[in-house]
Amino acid sequence: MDERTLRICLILLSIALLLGPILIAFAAKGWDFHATVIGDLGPLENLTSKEPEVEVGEFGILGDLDEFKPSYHYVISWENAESKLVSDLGHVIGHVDLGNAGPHEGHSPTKDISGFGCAGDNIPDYDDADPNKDCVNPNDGTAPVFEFSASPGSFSAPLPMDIPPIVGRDDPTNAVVVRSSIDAIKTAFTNAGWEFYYPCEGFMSPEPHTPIGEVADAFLDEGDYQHHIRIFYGGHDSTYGDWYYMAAHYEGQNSVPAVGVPVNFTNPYSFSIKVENVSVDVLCSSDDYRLGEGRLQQETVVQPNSSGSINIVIGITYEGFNHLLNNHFDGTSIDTSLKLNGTIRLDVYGLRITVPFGASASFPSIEVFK
Amino acid sequence: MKPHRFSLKGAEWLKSINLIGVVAGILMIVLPFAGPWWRLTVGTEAVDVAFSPFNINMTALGQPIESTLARYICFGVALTVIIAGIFVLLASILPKRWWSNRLIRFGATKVLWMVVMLLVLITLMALVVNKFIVAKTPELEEFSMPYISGSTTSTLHVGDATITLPIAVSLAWPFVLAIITAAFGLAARIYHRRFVKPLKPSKG
Repeated sequence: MDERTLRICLILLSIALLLGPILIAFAAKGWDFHATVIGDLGPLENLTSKEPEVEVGEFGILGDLDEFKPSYHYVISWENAESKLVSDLGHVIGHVDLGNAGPHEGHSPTKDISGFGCAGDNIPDYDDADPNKDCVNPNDGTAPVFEFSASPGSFSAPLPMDIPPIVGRDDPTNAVVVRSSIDAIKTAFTNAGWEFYYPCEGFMSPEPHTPIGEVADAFLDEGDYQHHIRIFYGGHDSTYGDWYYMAAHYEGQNSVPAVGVPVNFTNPYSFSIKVENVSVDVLCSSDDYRLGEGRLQQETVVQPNSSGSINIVIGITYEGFNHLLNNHFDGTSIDTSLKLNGTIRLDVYGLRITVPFGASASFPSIEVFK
Repeated sequence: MKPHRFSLKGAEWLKSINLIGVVAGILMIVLPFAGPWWRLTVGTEAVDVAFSPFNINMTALGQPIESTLARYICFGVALTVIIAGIFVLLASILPKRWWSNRLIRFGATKVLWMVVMLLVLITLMALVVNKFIVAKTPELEEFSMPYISGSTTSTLHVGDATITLPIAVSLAWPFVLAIITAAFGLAARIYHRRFVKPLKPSKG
């Protein structure tokens, strides 16, 4: 073999190594160009022939009401605070019936709490919904009712520091009734290191509060948690002065069961889809008046080839309630439905896909009473 | 006891081989097994492409996508580099044989060309996408593809849907090994000139 022969051999080897695999690949696939070049895309080939299905349920209470026991959490007049229909600040004209209205048991404490009021039957009741009970107590007689002197300096009761921090639960687990002035309560909280705010500062009498009766918020940051206590005005007594409801508040949640629409989301694909966000305007379907807005209750991963349930929590504004009452209230019920217009954001393997979302939800479970 | 003295005499044979070529040859044989040179990821694995001239692994939405042609071509390229590595190794160990120069010339710069072609390819791909496809496709108006290495987050408008795409491309350590191999290959070819004798005179 000489140099020239070697050179030719190497050229032939190069050609063989270049063309050989190509020819073998085509031969292996029966000389089918598409099968050789593109190959098998498997489930991806059906990607465009399917699309997720969304089925919207009726407007109502989200979740199992049996598991939500308001008497364990709040006094009755506060339970309904979030759902008050008000014509003006402080003037309640009715409630959205969330299914938990009615008297609750166990308002009177079963034992004396040393140094505090509400011991036995000697304290008058201010619970509008249950006027025959002696003492407003949200927790079957075990939650304390704090009675504070109007004098800030004499405040000595322990603050409810054992209220659980925000850990994603939907509802509070503790509530107290405080008989004192708001100034005394503020002093007590700020002395204990809490921040104290009046959401309606600047409003004039009779008592500055939001449409739901909230007069103040107290916050305490502790590590990654933030404790938040909402304070509602309860009433006035000639003997005891003002009294307030206080309880832990979990951000984004109300003291009543969340209301909204359940949505059944069907994922036809072979990969999971995370429903990351839903943001909708809530309109009156009769006249497109904007009643409020809706959001996804929590992120939900819908597994491949299966269905998942997501909830859209709906918040109706004060003006929205007024619109419903003034235009669609026939005396016993609201005669219209909700139209949801917005977007839904999905996460598929880190791709965020935002698509329009539109649906209609009826109002069957709403009853309005005066 | 006679003291031991270090001597280079035993290593005389080292002078008669192309050491750089030996290293290049070994690296060329190892390189196809080192792994992907370049990686493209869209989302958190919506699309994942791990690429080297010797292998292409691609998955989309968790499903592997395989092209028979690409697999066989990559296999051919790997075989070529391994054979070239063996040739370079042989030629470097026996540099004074008449065929050694031809084998070095056959194999020494194979990896260098692959490195250059990969860089050109991925630069061209990003260039074509960013300058031509994006410019002519209104849906891709906010789309941008990183060059060679980096990450971007692009937005696509497809019908009523808006899709946000985090795209990341990166070069992996086997690419560095490829550059080192290519450098040794080139150096071996240049260094080999010192062993080259005049060509075997042709008869007649």
